[in-house]
Amino acid sequence: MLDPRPGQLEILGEGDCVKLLRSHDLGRIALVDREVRPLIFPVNYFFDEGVIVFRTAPGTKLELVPGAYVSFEIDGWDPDERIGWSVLVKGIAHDITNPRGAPTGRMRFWPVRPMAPGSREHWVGIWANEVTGRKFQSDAQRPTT
Amino acid sequence: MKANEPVAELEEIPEAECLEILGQHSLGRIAIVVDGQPQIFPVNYAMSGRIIAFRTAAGSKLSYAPRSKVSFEIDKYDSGVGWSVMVQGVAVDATEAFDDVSWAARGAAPRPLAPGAKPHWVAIEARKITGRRFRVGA
Repeated sequence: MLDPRPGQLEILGEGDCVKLLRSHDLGRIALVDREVRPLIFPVNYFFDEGVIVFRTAPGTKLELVPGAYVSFEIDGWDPDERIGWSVLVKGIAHDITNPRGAPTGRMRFWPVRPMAPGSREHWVGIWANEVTGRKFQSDAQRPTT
Repeated sequence: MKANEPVAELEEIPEAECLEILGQHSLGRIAIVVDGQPQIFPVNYAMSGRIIAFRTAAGSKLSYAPRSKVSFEIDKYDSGVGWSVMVQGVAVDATEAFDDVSWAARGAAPRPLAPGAKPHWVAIEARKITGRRFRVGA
């Protein structure tokens, strides 16, 4: 992944996006509730085979997930290099707590490690349809503090 | 930031403190619904009371956010503590309007870090603010 020139926005290729998804474990899922309001939740995840897997307790996320069109995002900002990046995944979410086949059965062994306390016995997979990313080096003035 | 204070295993952050935390940060993410599917965009923002202001170029955020229900989120995980704050509200295009929300948004001076002209201002008037905090690895 080349460093972008200051002031330029670089579109990341899918390979770079996949590398970033594999090398991180905290992202945010966005869902639409029944009143067409978008909701965002931070989750710890594991990414492989084009699927983002996270664990959750019964609640809003689990109720809205089955068959839902969702988005998932990770981002980073390096204050020394002043480089920012983000990856957005659009996909369809499914409850894989009770796996129906070999692929989802395998996912249940992926190392998904929630940092927040509490039991999270339900597993959710987001099948990625579209992965896009961008990266930039900021040319904005540093804050004068 | 109160993130270093001892916390219960998992606790709700009261609204007043969520607003305080929002005021201490400048990078968040907005979720908007585009053709039935939610999308997430990272933005640099600034607060003015209960109003979250950010700047943007013409594009999805400007086309779909104004007059829509949106969510906004910030989070952080370090020094053994994780927290997140979620805001639900309605977005308005504050670029030229003379209502109170737009005035407040334009006075909030968000500083976009990403390059490119961002001549449009968007304001999110917070209706519901929730937060949670927990000990990492507790």
